[in-house]
Amino acid sequence: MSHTLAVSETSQVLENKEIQSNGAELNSLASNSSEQFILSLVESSSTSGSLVYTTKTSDESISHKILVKDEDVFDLGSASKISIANLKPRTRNYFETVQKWEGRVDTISQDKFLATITDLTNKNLNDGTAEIDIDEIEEDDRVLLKKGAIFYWIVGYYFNVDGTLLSSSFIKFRRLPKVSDAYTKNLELRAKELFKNAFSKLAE
Amino acid sequence: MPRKSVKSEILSFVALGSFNPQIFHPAWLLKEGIISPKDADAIEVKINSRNISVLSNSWLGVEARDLILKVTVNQKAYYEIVRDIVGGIFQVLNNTPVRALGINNSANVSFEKQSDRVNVGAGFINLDNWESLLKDPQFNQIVVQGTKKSDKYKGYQRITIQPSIEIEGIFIDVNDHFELDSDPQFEVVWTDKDGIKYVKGENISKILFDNFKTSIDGNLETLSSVIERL
Repeated sequence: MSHTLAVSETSQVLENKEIQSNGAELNSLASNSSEQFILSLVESSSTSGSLVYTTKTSDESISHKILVKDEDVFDLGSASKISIANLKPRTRNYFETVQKWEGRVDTISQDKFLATITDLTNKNLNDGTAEIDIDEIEEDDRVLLKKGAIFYWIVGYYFNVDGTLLSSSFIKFRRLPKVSDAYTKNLELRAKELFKNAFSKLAE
Repeated sequence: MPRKSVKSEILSFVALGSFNPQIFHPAWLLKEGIISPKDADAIEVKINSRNISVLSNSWLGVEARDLILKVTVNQKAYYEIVRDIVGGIFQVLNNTPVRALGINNSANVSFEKQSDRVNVGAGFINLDNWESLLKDPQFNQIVVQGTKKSDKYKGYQRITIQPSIEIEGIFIDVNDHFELDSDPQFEVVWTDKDGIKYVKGENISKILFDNFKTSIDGNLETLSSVIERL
């Protein structure tokens, strides 16, 4: 994977209440001048909880760490300490979203494309730019890759019911039904015929 | 404050109208360019008949009946993707008669202590008022409806709080309801024998592409406030 992401601002810090609503209680979250955190609590199929701990640093790099522990307390060093309560195993495969962008293709080269991306996870962030390998796009979606095409880029963690956990991202291009010119013309012709028939019957 | 955790969050789109359930099949969605070949292969057809069709994969559920189409998504990663699927369906079914649309965000919430679950209604209704009418009154279901706060469409926002049927906990649903049949923005194209008015299906696509974010943001804000008050 070779994503180059230009992030316009440093990232979000989830509020205490959001973390609580996911089942965790934030004991303390001391801020560190060089890093900001995105914390996302997820549940795995094991009996313990898992915590996705994402940092964005001032040099605009992004890193994700997975913490899985049996004990109640996740100690993130001096940065923060989080306790997890009452987590139950999941019964199905699940993708936990950490970050989601909507992108619009700007330019396409032989093996990459440049896109303007809008953060759908945090609406307060400004648009950024991403350079993405065409290899990252599913075969099915490559026919949709053209200037102006809209896609969704989702980064997160994939949990299998068997307890495995994978850092994952996927890109899905927007699909909307296409009405061809020929089809539209054909409909117009059929409509005209119907009207003509209807009026000729009325005239009779 | 009771210790609680959100166990699942579901987004659903519910359209009321007059449908032909049998066409709702992965082959049709693929043929119309609404889903990819890979997604079409992954969709399981649970039932496909003249009266009902039920399709699903790991993140999408479709249930079509004569008078109702319900599309659900159970993972946040796919919210916009499924919005496009529903919008795409009504671009194809542009002349299908429809009369209402609901965009619903719901969640199941569990409590560490059973007593907290039983007392959950206390934050919303005063049971003391009921003691002269009922012996040992308890919370069963709360439904409250209000006018929409933030969009240009006719309709309402409705909150339902009730026991969950999926987990030992509480189910909360926030419904952003669009009344297309009485909204002057939309042209009535058909009135049935019972006097129910219908507009064109393409109006659902317009609302979804124009107002989805406003609707979802409003729903999620309300949902999170309700969860906080439990």
